Amino acid sequence: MRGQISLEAILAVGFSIVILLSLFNLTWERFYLARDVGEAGEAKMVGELLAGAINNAYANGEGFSIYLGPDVLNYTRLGDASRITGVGISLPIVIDKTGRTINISKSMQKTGGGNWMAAVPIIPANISRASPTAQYAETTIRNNGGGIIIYAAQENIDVP
Amino acid sequence: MILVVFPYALKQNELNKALAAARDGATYGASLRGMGFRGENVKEIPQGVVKIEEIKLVEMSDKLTEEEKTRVGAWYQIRFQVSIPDYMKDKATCSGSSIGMTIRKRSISYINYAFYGDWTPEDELKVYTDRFKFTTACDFV
Repeated sequence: MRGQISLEAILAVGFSIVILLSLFNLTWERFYLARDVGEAGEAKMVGELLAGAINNAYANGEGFSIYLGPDVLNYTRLGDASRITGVGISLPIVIDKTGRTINISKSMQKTGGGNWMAAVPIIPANISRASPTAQYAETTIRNNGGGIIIYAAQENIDVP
Repeated sequence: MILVVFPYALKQNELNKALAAARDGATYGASLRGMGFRGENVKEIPQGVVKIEEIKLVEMSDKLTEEEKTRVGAWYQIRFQVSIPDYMKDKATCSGSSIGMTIRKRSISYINYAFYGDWTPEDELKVYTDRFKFTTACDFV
C-alpha cells in the first residue's frame, strides 16, 4: 500500500513537471507579445508626436519652431535592440513629402513578423531636413516661411 | 489512476495550450492592426478599434483526409468573432479581409511557436501538433 502511494506520488510529480515544461514556450511568447505591442505603441506615439510638431510649426507660420529634446524623443532608446533583447524602431524615421506621411517602421523579426509599418499623416508637403546646428539642436522643427525644416541627423530622420 | 488519466490530461493540455497561443496571436494581430500597422506587402488599413469579441473552437474532424487521420486524431478550427468599424472592412467576409488574415496568420504563428519554438509555420493557415490539426477562421460581428 505504501509502495503504491509512493509510486502514485512520483507519477503525479512527474506529470506536473511535464505539464509545466510544455507551457514554457507559451510563457515566452506572451513576453514577446507584450514587448512587441508595447514597442509598436511607442513607435506610433513617436510618429504622432513628430506629426503634431510638424503640423504645429506649419500652422503657426514663419519663424515658429519646436524643439523635441531627448527627454521627449530619444533615438538611442527608441532604436535600442539590446536592452531587453527587443528590436526597436527601424531608424531613420522617413518623412514622405509626396504622400505627406511620416513612415514608422517597427521590426518584429524576434516574433517572425518582419517589418511592420505605420503611416502618420501630416499637413505640409514642403519639408526638408538639415543637420543640427548650434542654434537649432537635434530634432528642432522650424517654419522658415518657405517650408518646414527639420534639424536632425539623417540616421534619425530622413526626408528623401 | 494517474496512468489512466495521463493521456486524457495531456490531450486537454495540448488543446488548452493551442487555444491560449491562438488567443495571444490574435490579440497581437488585432492590436497592431488597430494602431494602423501593416506587414510588408500587406494592404494598409486605417487605424481603429479592432476587438476580438469571442473565440470558438469548432470540431471538424470529419473533414480530415485519410492521410491526415494517420497523423492527427482531430481537427479543430479556432474561430474568432471580430468587431471592427465598417471603414476598416476591405472585404465582406472576415476570413478573407486584410484584418482577418492578419489575425488568422498571427494565431497560427503563435500556436507554432508554442509547440515548436518557431515563429514561421510550414503553412501560414494551419499547424499540426502531436494530436491535432489547427486552422483558423473569423467572422465579423
